Amino acid sequence: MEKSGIPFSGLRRFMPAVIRLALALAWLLTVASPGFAGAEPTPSDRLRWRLDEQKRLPDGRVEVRLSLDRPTDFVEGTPVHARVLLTRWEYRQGRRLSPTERSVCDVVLPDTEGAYRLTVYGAFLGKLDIRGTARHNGRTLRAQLNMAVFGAAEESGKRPREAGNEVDAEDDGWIDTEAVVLAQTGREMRFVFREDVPAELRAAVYKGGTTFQAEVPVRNGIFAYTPPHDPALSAAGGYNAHLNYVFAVDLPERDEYFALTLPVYRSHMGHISYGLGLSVLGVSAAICGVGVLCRRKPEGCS
Amino acid sequence: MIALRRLRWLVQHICFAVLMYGGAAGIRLGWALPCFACPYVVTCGGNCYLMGLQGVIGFALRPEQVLGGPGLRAVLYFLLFTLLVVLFGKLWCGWVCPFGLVQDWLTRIRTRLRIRERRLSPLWAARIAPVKYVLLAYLCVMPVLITVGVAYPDFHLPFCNICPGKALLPLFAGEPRHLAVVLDNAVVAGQSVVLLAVTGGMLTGMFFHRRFFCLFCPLLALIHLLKPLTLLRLVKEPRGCVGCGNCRRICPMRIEDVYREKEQADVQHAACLDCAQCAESCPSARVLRLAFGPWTLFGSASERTGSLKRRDPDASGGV
Repeated sequence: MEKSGIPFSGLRRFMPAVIRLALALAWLLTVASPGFAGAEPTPSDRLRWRLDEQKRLPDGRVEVRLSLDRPTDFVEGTPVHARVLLTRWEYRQGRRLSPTERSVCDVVLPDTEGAYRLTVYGAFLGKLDIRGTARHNGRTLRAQLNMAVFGAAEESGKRPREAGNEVDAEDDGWIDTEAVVLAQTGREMRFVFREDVPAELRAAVYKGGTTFQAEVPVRNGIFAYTPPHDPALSAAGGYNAHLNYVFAVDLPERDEYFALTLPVYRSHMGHISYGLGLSVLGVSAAICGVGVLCRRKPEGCS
Repeated sequence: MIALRRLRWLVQHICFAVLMYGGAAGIRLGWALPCFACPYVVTCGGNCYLMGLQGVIGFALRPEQVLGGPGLRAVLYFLLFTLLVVLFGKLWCGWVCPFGLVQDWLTRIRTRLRIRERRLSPLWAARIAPVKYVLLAYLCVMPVLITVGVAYPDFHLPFCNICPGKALLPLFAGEPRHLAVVLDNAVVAGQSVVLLAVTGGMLTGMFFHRRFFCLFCPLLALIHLLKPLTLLRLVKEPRGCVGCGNCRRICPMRIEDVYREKEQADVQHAACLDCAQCAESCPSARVLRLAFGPWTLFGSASERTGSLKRRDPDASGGV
């Protein structure tokens, strides 16, 4: 073979292929890796609700404190419109009746010291549905939160506190979460889009709002997820510890980005052990049985 | 004429069906029942007063609730419970209680297997007699301690968390959840271990001893505290007693006082279940009777028992 005088001439013949291979590898490591949204919003680029605290007041109402996390480059003072719905749940003979009472309020969230906050007071047992909307960088960001409120005030039918222009609305939200009465770990949650969406979508699940957990398919507007049991939710004193789970669904063709927030509580069935329980039962019964059979017949008994 | 014990057996089963499964048919008998109609059974048709009592005591003592709905509800529950006890006495224990029937089933199984009953000695029976009052005090005091912040909220419903009825009765509705140890935290895990240990011991006790749990039942203690008000009583005519001892032998609670009493008419013992088996087994006419005020509901009759003969509860089926 005749040698060429040009250095690395052999390598140059393969340069276009090498470049193409390098680009392909770069694509695989970045764009295709899970959790990377590329030009799509990341968790920090979305609007998402966060349940900060809920507590029962002496009069039986429940005070729910919420925050709305916004994109880092959100223009200060950008209006965020929120619709707050509180639907009363009534049960009869163990079955939930159709909703008979609903309070609806539209508010514009005030920007308080760089954060959007909302406080809702629930006077009765029901479902709280909050939807926030804002425009950002040409996109419509939508954030929805659903949770159960266990209000027990004597007087029912109180409006949510942030009363703005009250609207008598029939709509039930962007994503239907009716099947989820109280979101718990270890239990499957199913969601249904109420509006038309493409047949095949993906929903990214974020634990705590920012930590990517999984990606679940959205088929014909329906998706489901089972939050795993989390030891961090176990604490003495009750079942009130919660973790905010965010389900993010993007509709780039409409420039709309959804973020559904659900406070998830520890499962009442999540931390039980049948083996240990039956062992305790069996050992106790065996010890008592041996004691009964081995004791002498007491005097005075026939 | 149907024998009393067969009638009682029938009534017990009807009440079991109503109280355990009546909820599925829309039956709601409220929260003031003086028997172990366990609310942990999803299909229950009524609820044990002890759970209502524990739940209401703590909540109703909050300053803003004493004169409000919860406080009034607590009073209403108690009045209703009192009325039911005044009218029916301990018939709830001997004829209605679902957990009592479970114990009677275990006794019947034991007698079918021809296993001899093991009874507590009089000394031990006397020693454990106060336990039901201790449990009654525990379930009344602990909710107060929770309300004032001394005790962990996980001690809510303190007696229910250790009651063997909670573990066993839901099994009849297909719910085995309470046979598991709950590992949420140390307090809850400890209570569920105690519950299962007590249940294991009680199962053994209920198999070898008739109505063993009734020796510890705080509801029986609470009903007996209302004894001065009850219209239903077990009454004896001491002059007619021939001392055969049938009442002592047939009694599931091994009460000796009915046999020994020679002077007074009122023989309603603290542990009596008003099952009236003593009256049915008594060979002397009108000596023992279950009376509602001045009227006799059921009385001993010589023609019913025939000749004077020894009645052995194990030979007759145990219950």
